[in-house]
Amino acid sequence: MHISDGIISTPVCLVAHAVAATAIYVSGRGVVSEEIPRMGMTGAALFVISLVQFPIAGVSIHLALFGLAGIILGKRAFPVVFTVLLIQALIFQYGGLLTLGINALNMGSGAFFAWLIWSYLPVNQFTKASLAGISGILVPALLMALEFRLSGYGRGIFILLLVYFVTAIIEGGITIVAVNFFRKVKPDILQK
Amino acid sequence: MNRFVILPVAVILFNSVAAFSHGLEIQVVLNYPAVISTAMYSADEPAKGIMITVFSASDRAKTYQTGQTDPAGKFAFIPDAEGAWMIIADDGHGHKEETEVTVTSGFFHPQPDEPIEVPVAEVVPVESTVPDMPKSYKILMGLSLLFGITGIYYGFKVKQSHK
Repeated sequence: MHISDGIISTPVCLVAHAVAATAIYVSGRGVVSEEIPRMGMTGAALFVISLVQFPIAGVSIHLALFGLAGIILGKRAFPVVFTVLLIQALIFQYGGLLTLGINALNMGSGAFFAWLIWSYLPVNQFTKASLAGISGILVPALLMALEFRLSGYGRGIFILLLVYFVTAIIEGGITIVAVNFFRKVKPDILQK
Repeated sequence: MNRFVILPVAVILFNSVAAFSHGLEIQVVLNYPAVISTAMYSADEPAKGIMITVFSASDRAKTYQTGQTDPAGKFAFIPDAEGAWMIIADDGHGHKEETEVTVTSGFFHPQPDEPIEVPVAEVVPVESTVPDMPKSYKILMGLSLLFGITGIYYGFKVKQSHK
C-alpha cells in the first residue's frame, strides 16, 4: 500500500505534503499530555503489525490496524500514522520520502473513516468495529488505486483492490476481537 | 533494579553483533592482454570499491593507473612493458596490501595455437558496501524512535501544562 517515489508526479507529491501538514496540524491541535502515551503505544502497534507479512495471490500484504487506530485515537490517528510512515520510510524504505505526504493522506484517511464509522454509524458495536476495520484497509487501497489511475496506469490497477479486500476482511475480524477485548478490559480506551 | 529493568538491559547486552578482524589479500591472474587482480578480505569476501594503484615496472615513481575494484573485487590493467609491476590496494579503512607482479616477455607473445582467453565481464548486482542491519535491529530502532518521540512530546506537553 506504500507508494514509492517516482510513481506519482512531484507536483502532486508536494501538494499532498502540504495537505498532510495541514491535516497533522488540525488533528494534532489541542493534544493533552494524557493522550500522548496512548498515541505512542498505538503507533508502536501499527509499526510492528505492518512487519507481519503474508503472501496472497502473488502479492505480499500485511496487516495495518488503521481501523483500530481510528477507534482508539479518533482524529489523533493522523499524526500517529504519519510518524509511523516516516519511520518506516527511513528504516525499511517502505514508500518514499517524496510520497510520504500522499501515503499519510491515504492511510490517515482510512483511520479517519474508521473513526467516523465508529463514532456516528447508528449500528451495534460489533458491526461498527468490523466496518471500521474493513474501511481502514479499503479506503487507503481505493485512494491508492485512484492515484495510480490518475497517474496513467490502466484500469487493471483496480484488480489490486480484490487482494486488499481479503486483507480488509481479516482486519475487520481482528478489529472486532480487539474492540471486544478493550470493552472488557479497558473500555475508556475506545473513542466515545 | 527489578526484573523489568534487568530483562531489557540483558537482551541488549547479549544481543551483540560478532566482531571480527580481516586482512586484505590480492590474487593476480595474467590473462593476456590484461593483468587481473582480485582483492579479497581474509574471510573470502570481495573487497569491492576499494582503491587500486598500479606502478609501472619501468618507472616506479610514476603512477601507471588508478581505479576502483568492481563489485567482485576485481581490477584489471594492460601492462605496456615487461618487468615487475606493483599493485597496491587500499580500502581507506586501514587495510592495505602490496603485490608485485612479474610480467615476462612471453606474456606479450602468446603461443599461436593457444586460445587467447578474453575475460568475460561478469554482471554482478551492485550491493551496498555497508552490511545490512538485521531486521530485528531495525524493528528495535523503529520502536526506540517512536517511544523517543512520544517521550519527548509528552515531556514537552507536561512542561507546557505546568506553566
